[in-house]
Amino acid sequence: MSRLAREMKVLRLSWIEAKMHFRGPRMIALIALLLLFICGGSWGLSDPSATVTSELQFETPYEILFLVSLFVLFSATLGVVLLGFDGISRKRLTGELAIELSQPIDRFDLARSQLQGLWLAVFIPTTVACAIGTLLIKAHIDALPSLYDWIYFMIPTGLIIFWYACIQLLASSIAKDLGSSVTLGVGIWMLFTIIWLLFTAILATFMGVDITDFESAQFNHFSDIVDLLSPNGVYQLLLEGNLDADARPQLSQIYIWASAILWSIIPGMLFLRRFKRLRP
Amino acid sequence: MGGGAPLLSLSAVTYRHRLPNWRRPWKKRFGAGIHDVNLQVHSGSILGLIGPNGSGKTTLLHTIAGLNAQHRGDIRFSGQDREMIGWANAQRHIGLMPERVNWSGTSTPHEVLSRLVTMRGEGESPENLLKIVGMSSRMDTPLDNMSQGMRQRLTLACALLGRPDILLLDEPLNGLDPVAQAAFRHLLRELANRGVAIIVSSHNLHEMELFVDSLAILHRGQMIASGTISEVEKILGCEPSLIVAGKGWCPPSANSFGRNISLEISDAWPDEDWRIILHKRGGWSSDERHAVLQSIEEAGGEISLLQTALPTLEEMLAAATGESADTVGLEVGDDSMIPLRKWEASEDE
Repeated sequence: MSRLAREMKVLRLSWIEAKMHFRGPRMIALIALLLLFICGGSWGLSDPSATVTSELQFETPYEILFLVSLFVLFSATLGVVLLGFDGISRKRLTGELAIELSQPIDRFDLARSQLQGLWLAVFIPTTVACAIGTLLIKAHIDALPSLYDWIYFMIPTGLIIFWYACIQLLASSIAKDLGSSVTLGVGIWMLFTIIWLLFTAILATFMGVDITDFESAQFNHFSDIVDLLSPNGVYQLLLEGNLDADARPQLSQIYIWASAILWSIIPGMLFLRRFKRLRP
Repeated sequence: MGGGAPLLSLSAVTYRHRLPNWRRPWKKRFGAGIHDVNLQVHSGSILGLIGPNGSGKTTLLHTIAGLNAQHRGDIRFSGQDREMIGWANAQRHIGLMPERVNWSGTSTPHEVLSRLVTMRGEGESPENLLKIVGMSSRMDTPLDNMSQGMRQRLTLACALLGRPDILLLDEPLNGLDPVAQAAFRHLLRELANRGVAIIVSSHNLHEMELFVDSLAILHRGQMIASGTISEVEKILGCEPSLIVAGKGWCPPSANSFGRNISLEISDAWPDEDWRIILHKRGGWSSDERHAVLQSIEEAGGEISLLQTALPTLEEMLAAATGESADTVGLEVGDDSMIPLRKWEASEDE
């Protein structure tokens, strides 16, 4: 089979996998989450009469999108957890995995189709929600982000969904039952989304960094470095790279993009490696 | 059937599961599995793989299907080593039907098969497969709405994808009602008549005797006997017994029917005055059966039942291992694999 035919097969399988997710009942929960968080966030944050906090200054559509990214973090990544936490473990429990693994297809291709299918199932509705959110911003402030800004926003968004898809499928392939699957999936999401600041503060204490003032330059710099170890942190740092110079992170863009590349490779490779050795 | 080179041949195949090692988490320990399994299956034959729970039936089927990489030994398809022809190519020869796949979700059988067809990169029609397993009218039924019997049929349709030469069926009759079981057996025989080699696993010897051509008995990961049913019975020395029941006659002492025959008195059923089970080494010829009947009738007995009963799986295992029939199936630990006596057909010849 030629390389092109093989890639086409993986793409077809990915699309079938994504369609299965689209038709599942969990997609309704995901769409509700995306609409509430991303569209609602875009509408609320772009309201000229709204005051969020005195420290947050936003005037341009991109800056509003940057703030909306916080809602993307909560909704889209949770969506990946919702759809993907049992991606492998459910099939293992029902026996479907044995059938799939006994088919004459390279396991690497099969794993990629699972990964891409999950990614597509979350990325497509997230893109639609972001597009609606952008139109809501235009309705409020009568300005659209440039195409460059919009694509700049969507690339890290696609990346973070991909990173979480890798992490979730890896967790699901490790879990032997649905309980462990949920625990691992939600646990990892909570670590990066909710308790990462606590982790950063504890680490800062051990490293002798002053944590009495979270706004201090020293803590911010330390926090940026620690954020390179978190997909959410890297996502935020990537998006900050397109803000005004004074709002950009203190870290070099090379480190941030290098971290993004590593986040794109390591969890994915770990999942593919695990899938290759998977037993039903 | 049975002649020529075997379609599938296993030589000293060994595979052991890896278990977590809590003392040294970086190092896994070996658990149970299959040990030194030799097996040959010919085109058009149905082999019954029998063994109690945890004996290694599923592990053996998964190893043949390429889900487990054997640690030792060779697996050959039509004489060609699996490593030589490549795993994916080898998997084209095989259709695996795992035990009790619990299909669920909003997808339909047609979609499930279409996805697997895409996976295999073949242009096979899912409609044909669903027709073969009698599910044409249910091809668009959501999986969640299907009965266990329908789910089993769908699993079989998955196994038939790509017209495999070898079918591996893991407990295929589980969850099927007697009518569906009969239809399933008929379907398997039809497939075998088309030249497909079939391996069916079960822990129920009596359901197997209805349609298999040969048997292989697994116990604690080792193959303890293989051959036709009568060969296996002969090898293990547990030939079929004779059950006789009737009225008006009191069973005599154990040696009334001759020195080679042992007698066991069983509980009589309603409308019977007595029921006996006669055991004889070497099996029962029709003359010997006739002699037994004659002696009972001459003593004034009226016979209402004469039935040959196959030995049970536990009797066979007990005969093979020297353990008691009551305890042979117990104490199957996750790493229990003991050297057992090995019986080959040639030993008896």
